[in-house]
Amino acid sequence: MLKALNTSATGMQAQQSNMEVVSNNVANASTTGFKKARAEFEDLLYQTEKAPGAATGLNAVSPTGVQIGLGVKAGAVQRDHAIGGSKQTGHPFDMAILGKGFFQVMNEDGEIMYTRNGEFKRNEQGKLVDKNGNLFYPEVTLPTDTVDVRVNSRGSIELIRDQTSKPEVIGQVELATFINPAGLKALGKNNFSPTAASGNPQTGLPGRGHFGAVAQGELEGSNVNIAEEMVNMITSQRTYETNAKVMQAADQMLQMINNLR
Amino acid sequence: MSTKGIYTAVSGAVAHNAKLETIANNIANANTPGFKKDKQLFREYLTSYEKQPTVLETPKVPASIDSFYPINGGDKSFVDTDGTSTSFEQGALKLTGNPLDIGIEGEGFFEVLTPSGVRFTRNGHFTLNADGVVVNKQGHPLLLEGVEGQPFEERFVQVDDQKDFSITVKGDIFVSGANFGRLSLKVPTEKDALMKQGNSLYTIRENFENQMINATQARIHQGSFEQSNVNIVQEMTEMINATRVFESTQKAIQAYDQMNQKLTNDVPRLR
Repeated sequence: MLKALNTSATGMQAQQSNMEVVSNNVANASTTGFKKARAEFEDLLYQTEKAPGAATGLNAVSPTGVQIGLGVKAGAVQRDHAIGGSKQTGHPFDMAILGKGFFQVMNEDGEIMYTRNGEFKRNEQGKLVDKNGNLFYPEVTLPTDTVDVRVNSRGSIELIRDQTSKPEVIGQVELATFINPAGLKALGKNNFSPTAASGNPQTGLPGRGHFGAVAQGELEGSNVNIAEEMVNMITSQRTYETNAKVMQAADQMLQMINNLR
Repeated sequence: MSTKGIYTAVSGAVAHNAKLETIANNIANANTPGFKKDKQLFREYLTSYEKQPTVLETPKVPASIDSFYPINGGDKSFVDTDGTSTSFEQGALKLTGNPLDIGIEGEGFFEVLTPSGVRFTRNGHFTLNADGVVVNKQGHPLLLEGVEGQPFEERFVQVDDQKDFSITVKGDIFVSGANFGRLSLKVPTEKDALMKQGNSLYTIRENFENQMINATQARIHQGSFEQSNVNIVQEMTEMINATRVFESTQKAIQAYDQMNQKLTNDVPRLR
């Protein structure tokens, strides 16, 4: 009887983590460059109460055996790296990647992190940084007399000092791709770091090979589909409810046993 | 003492306990991709099975005291859990658009290579590992069709960019436009050959080796995955049924208890 209680508890736990993933997706529905995740489930071990082929009497054997499953677990949380919709901002340091690839930013410890969030700013030294102050990598420094900055689709960053002089190349956007982006570890604040599952980063120039082109003045929205998340939420909540009912039923049966005497 | 039948009632309680446990597992896995529901089967267990079979004497005369013969416990039976049968009904396919979600419509199981050998699964959630090989969520590689004795490494699906990866309805894999091979989909000749192992994997039972043949009736849907085939309404009804039968067996046990009480307390007083 305790088995049924535990089994329904694993079901409730799994649906709870599903709900947590869904609520994080919904909370980040308008986060720039956010990639939605989904919880994936697997059944747990099966307990063999009676082995197939075991004797059940003198002349009888069990043809299939009795196997009782012990519940469910959240096997993986898979991140979907599909591209989100892009929105126009007109801000010169906003960039969106039209295709595959990640921007690289360097934190104060010198570690490279990867992000799809293309909202960059200038810091007090004129260096290009992300919202959390991580340096854009490879580093770009903008002189104080900058009039305008242009980033073309190939990622070349050009500086316009005044209306008459020719544009001057001051930097180059470099993108990184991974064989398995779903294996990246999410660090929060839109940043990812590589793991053994994602493979090592391969860097390259935007718009070449399988790297996406860069669009200046645009930002990539999240790829969360609210309708889909709502449906997931409803199924998750209802399944949770059903599991709770099973727990009640198991409890009632235990109660009956206790009332036998 | 009249305890003969109390164990029959207990066997009913034990059996319905097992049934509730199976239902609990089905409901817990209602959202597990590719999960196939189980059903607990019962059978009548005659206590005569426990005795050596003897030729029963058939009465040859009209009913008289001579027509009674030993029944070797055949008057008493228990209910016994006979087996768990898995229903391989199709689960609903859910569209996701993720190229590494692969749904099977119809018969067939994917082959994945685990450290302990080839296992079968209907769970259509796959991903790439760091080498660009298509693997399931435990990191076990998905296998292509191959011949006996071929090294498994040659049957891995090597994809470098999941955008260039497509699978036809028949299971032919195209990577960057070039045909890469056909997905291995196996089906057991004998329905009982597969046994659940957990983690959405199935293994072949002992004595059922070489029972897996290529599936011919399968249709592959890339960008969808198969959901579980658990029907909540059915499971809830079965659960109500199981708890009520359980309750009734408890009543039977109580009835026997009351009879025994009379026997031990009231009958001696009649003297």
